[in-house]
Amino acid sequence: MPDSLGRRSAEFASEVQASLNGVLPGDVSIVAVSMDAGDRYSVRPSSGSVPIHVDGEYLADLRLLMFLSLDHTGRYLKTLRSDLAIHSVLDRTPLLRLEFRSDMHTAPIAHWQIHAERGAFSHLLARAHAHRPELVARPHDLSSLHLPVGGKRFRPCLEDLLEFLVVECGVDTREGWQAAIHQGRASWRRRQLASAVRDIPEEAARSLREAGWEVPPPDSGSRQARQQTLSAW
Amino acid sequence: MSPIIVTETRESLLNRRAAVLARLGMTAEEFAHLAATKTLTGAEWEARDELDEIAFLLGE
Repeated sequence: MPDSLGRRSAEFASEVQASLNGVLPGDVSIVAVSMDAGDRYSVRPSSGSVPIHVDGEYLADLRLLMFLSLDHTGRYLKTLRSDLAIHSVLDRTPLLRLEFRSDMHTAPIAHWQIHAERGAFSHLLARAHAHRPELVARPHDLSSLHLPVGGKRFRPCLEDLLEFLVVECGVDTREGWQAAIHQGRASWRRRQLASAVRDIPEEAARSLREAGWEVPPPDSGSRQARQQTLSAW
Repeated sequence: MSPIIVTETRESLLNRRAAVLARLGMTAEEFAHLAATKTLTGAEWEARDELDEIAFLLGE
C-alpha cells in the first residue's frame, strides 16, 4: 500500500505543480512528504507558500497544505485535509481561506473563511451571542464563521481559487494560463465525479440507463449509497 | 520539473517540532490553546501549518 500511496501522492503533487506553474509566474516546487514512506503524505510548496504578484509587485502568498492517504479500499487516493489560503505580505495573516476537513463534525466539511469585518454582520452576531453563546462564540471575528461550499465531493478546487485570483483580484499570470486552469479543473471534476458515482452507484446506473446505456449490476460489492457523504454539511 | 518526494524520519519530525515551538517560545499545549482562542500573527499562522503537518505525519 505505501508504494501505491507514494506514487499516487507524487502524481497528485505533480498536478498541483502543473496548475500553479501554468497560471502564476515563477517556478514553484511542490513536495510530497511522508514519514518513512508510510501510510500518509502531505503535499505543499517546498517553501511553504507561493508568491502572488500584481504588475510585478509582491503582495500576497498562496499557502497550500494537503493531507493524503488511501481510502478504505486501498485503491483510491483520499484527501483528509486541504488548506488553501491567501496571506497578505503586510502582516502575513490570511485574507481568505478555503479549507476541507474530512473529519469535521460541527462546522461544514468544506468551507470558506473570510478575514474581513462588517459592522452590521458583527451586530447580528453580537445579538446572537447574547442568546446562544454556544453557537456564536466569537461575534467580533467574522473569520470564525465557516461558509459551506459543497461538502466532500462538490467543493471548489485549487483552479477555482487561482481563477478567482486572476479574474477578480487581477494578479499576474503566465501567458496561456486559461489552459492550465481548464485542464486542472477538468481533472479535479473527473476525479470528484468518479468518487460521487462510488458514493451512490444506483443513482449513477439509473442516469446511464435513462441515457440508453446498458448497466448491469455487479455480482458482488456494495450498492448501498454512502448516506453520510451525501448528507453531510 | 518533477515534484520532490521528501522522506522524513520520526526523529527529524520531532526535531522540527521542537524548533518551531522554540521559535514561538511556548509549549505545544500553549500554542494549541492560543490557536483555538486568539487571533494569530503571521508567524503563528505559519507555525500552525508546520505543527499540523508534523502531527499528521507522526500519526497523532
